[in-house]
Amino acid sequence: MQFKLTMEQELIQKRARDFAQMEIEPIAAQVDRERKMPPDMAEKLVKAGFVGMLIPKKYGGSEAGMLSYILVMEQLSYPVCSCLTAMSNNVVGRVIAQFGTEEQKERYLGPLCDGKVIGSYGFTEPSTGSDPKSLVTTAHLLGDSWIINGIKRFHTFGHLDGPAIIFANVDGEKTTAFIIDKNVEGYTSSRPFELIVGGGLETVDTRFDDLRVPKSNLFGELGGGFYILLAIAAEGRLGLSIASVALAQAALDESIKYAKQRTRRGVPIASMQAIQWLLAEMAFRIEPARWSTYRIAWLVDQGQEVLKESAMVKLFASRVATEVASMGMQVHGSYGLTKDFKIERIYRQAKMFELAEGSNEVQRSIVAGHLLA
Amino acid sequence: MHIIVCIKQVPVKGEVPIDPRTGILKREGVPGVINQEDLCALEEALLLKEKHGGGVTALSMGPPQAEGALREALAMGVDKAVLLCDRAFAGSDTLATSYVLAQAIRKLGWFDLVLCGKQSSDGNTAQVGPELAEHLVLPQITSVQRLEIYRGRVEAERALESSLQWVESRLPAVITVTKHINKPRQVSVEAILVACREKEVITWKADDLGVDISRVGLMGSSTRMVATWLPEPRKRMGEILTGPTREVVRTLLERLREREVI
Amino acid sequence: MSSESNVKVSPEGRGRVWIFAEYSDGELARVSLELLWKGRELAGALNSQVWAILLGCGVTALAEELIYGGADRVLLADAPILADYDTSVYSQVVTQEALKHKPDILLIGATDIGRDLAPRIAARIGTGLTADCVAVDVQRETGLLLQTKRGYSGNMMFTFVCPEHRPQTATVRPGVLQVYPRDTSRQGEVIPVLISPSEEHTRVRILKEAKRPGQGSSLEEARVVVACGRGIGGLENFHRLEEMAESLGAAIAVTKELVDAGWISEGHMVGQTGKTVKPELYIACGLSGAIQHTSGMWDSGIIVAINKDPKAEIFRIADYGIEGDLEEVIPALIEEIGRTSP
Repeated sequence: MQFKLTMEQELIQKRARDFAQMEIEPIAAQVDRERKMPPDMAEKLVKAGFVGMLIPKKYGGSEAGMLSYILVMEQLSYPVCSCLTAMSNNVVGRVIAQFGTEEQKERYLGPLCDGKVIGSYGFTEPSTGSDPKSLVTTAHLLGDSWIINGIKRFHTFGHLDGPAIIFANVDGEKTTAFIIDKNVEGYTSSRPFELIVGGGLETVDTRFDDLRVPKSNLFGELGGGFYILLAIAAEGRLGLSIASVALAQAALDESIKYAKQRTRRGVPIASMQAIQWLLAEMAFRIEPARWSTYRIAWLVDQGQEVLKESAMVKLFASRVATEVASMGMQVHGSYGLTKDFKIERIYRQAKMFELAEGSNEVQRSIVAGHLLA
Repeated sequence: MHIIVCIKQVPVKGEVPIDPRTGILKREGVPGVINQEDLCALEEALLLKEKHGGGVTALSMGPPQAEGALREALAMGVDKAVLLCDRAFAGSDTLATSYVLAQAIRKLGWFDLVLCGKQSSDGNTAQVGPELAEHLVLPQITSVQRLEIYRGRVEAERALESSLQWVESRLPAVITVTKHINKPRQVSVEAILVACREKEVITWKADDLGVDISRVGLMGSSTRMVATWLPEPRKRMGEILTGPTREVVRTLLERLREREVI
Repeated sequence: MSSESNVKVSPEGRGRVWIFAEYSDGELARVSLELLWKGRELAGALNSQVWAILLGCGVTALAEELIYGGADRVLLADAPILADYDTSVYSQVVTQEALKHKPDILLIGATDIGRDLAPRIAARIGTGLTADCVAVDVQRETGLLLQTKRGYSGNMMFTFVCPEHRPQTATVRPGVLQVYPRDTSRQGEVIPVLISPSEEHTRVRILKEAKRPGQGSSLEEARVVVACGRGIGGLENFHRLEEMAESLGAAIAVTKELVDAGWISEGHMVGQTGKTVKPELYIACGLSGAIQHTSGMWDSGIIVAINKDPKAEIFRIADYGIEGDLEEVIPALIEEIGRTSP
């Protein structure tokens, strides 16, 4: 077992680190404050080659692999600035490559690699969290089209141009996935919710009123939607886990910097045991979260299915994020409450990881389900 | 035109551990990056290639992990990458290093120009470039921040302490560049993947180069590190003057006049 | 063309120290005098002499100055081909003389020329070289030159020796050593060196040279230095600081940020990657005391620090400190200096 990144992975990681330092770090506070996405970020991410990493070469991607993708996401998430919209094309693109028809791959993957459109998926509804049986969105076949009716809630990037993978129930309980091109009659989206996380994380309600979708946009098998959802979720969780790790690392680094500079009675607070212990508590949580995520990404690259593992690491890493962010605030004291320090933004963003991509309660059920099967 | 660029992998930042037995810096296992000024040398070579055609070879002497630096050079666009790696080379000072590099360059065959960064961020000697030029019996131009090639000759702008100097010489020549010469390009993930999965890094050992073993490594080095320590912080009896600005300033000037410095 | 055989020092040559002399605008560079000062100390400890080697055209008067500055003997190579510095011609001449006279130690200033020439000579002769030393000393028993330099952003000191190869060569940072007062009563020999330069194909031709803009008196020679970093604030504050410096007859020193901002040329940068200065008085305005800067002014006679942060590191190395806002203190200083000046 090689616990070492390959040269290729190290170079990719370094590239991402440089990118984060040069392109994201300088604007992070501003994006958070003004809640406005930098307009050219997608283009820059594409140019650096980050957007096609999980998409096969045949369709314009680079097939860099899941571990390399995770390494990139870790670096890009470190400035704690939600401006990585185009990166979601990786997860959506990979799923389309796995389950789509040849025609669907040809149609959607190229534009996703170019960052010209943004891929998204919508499962959650106002009254449905994670139970597919209670999906209210329905689809029925009428001639050559599927007619879809329903609402999706917290459909991240549902309002942006690009393919959306939507889950609907056919004939009652057959959960099925469809790819929807958004510029069609019957598709509407609300304004983005105002979330405590700032900037570019835009999530909306989308609504389908007798939305007509061609037969060829059936995605995967009839009734096979849940399986696709699991695939999206398993890999989406990895991205979220590593973003949690990056955020926690940022909290630790900020706290170390602060502790060394801030003095009380002529000495830096870093010389005080209470602070030292807090820093140690932060660090020992981050280390296993990181390496566990790396390992699971590596398993994906080996072709293994990671439903249980990714749920476990998401549970763990998201909790690490909130705990470490909270400890970071303790180190900063009241100054942590001010906008002058990065820790306030870190603290605000941390909680999201326990709730998104299937709340931690859901994750617990998944894990238990595997254990007791 | 054919350009050879000598690059060095240096520690990312901070201190490099020293092996207490030999007194030499332990490079293995410490994460490395291409020395900043060598990166500029690579970039300059690639720019010259784009303008004049030809090829670029990246050359580095280092431990096995220095291959990463050469892979990065391949990702940037160099045509050939050669790693000089042998236990026998470990512990080389600049004299031994420049000797090994010169042997490798001779083995590579015809070239028009050798570029290197002026100095490395770890050694800071700025010696390898000129020593290399001496071994190869070539003109040297150091501290270059701009250069132009015209028909077998090179014109260079040198940044000196208090002046700018323009010089010219015939090619081939050895030129060391400063970080003011250009801004190195960033590589894409695709380029990294191609460089790592499809391209070759040629490795040469001492035997391949036909070097005189007594002139390489620790044995071939003329200098030896005998001590290393942290500098003592200077102890001064600081008198901090407090009070209204006007008074404080007057007191300071009084003190300084008493001590006859103004 | 590096020599296979090293310079083998004969018993009479043991301890003989050479310094490479530099000059500009008809005057010896201060670093050459600093090297002579140190050279005398080293040679004295080894019961030997210090020689200077001087290359140029029409520089006979400088040879005398080298004697007045402490040299026992001056090797003078005076010829039109040496009028401008050229790496290959200069290294050829110095090497030729070194092989002839076999010095034990060779000191060169870590100047543009010095750092360009020294490695060429070292490779030509086949000897060891330590660059940019901040201290050189000698071990009496062994005759080994202890060559000390700073590394890793000034956070560590390293000492090297060159056990077998000769001459033991080092370039020394200008400003870290002292000088002897000019003594016209000193006696010494000036020996002309005959040269027959070859190697046209490694010559580099100088097309033109232009002085870079610099302000005020030369930094290394200044008795008083006023320094600032980013903490100075805006350009108007900087100009006021320049005003204050002028009224004190002081030179300006800055940190890297201000050079990068284009406010002043790199020749005014003090610190680990800049210059080292040892003025009698160093006034640090709005500087925190980070080691990257302080390693360049450490040894100043008297250090005054002005900073609004009472916890700034600089106060720990200052003789006098004012905790205050530069915007208030600088104008007050200008006024007070003006008021009480003769």
